[in-house]
Amino acid sequence: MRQCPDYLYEYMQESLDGDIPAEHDRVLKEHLRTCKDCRDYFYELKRTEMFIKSLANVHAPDGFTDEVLNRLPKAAKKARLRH
Amino acid sequence: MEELVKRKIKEIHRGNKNAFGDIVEFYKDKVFQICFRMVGNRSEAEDIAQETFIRAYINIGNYNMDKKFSTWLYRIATNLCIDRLRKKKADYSLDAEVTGTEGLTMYSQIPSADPLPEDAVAYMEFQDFLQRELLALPEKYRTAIILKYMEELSLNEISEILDLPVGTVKTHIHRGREALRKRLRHL
Repeated sequence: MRQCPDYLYEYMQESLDGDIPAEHDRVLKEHLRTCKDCRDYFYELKRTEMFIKSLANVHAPDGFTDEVLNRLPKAAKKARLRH
Repeated sequence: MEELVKRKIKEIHRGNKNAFGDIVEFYKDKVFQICFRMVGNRSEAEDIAQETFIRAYINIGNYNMDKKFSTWLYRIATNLCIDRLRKKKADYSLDAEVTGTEGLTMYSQIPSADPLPEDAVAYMEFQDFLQRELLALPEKYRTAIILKYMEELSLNEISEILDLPVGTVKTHIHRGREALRKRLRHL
């Protein structure tokens, strides 16, 4: 599946991180124009990212805060207040 | 937000327990989300999330006000999750390691008198499926992926929470993404 030089896959990851140097970005875009395998691969990575982002936000159960407050020890350990 | 939290923390230092209730309210969903995505089980996640806040309260004197409170709090949460996962691993045999979620987790929360439309069920099933895929990732990749995508944290913040160099965090996210790509590409 991965037939192109490794650095191209690294550039794809950098691109997803939103942290790709301009030169890498240029090389990657140039390559993607001509290589369908890499375009598909990059698409799969982006799709994966979208799936993971789509995991619904879960919420703490009802009564969570009260439960925590009930379980708190009498007083927090006294310690230096740092500034 | 951070400023407000810091004011609340000063109130806690002065002995105002209610101020801590406000902090729990601010962060409960985020902490619960981290725990749930890490362990894949609601009751266990609730337990760990509560423990996170209790530890934060007890150790509030160790929190350095120069740092972001959420970073400190998420660090407690991820450490507790990792401890729990390791304990589990020691308790059960290796092949029981990935047991998946408790099945239709969200769905089971909804009263049965109010049946869901078919596509909503399919959606829930898909969410459960994704959660299982997340649980199948090696722990260190999963942790980095969860902090990045569930909490939308920067690489620097993740690096502080996990006490790992930014380069290592990047590598974990890259490998996690690549592993998930392989498993999800045929969908």
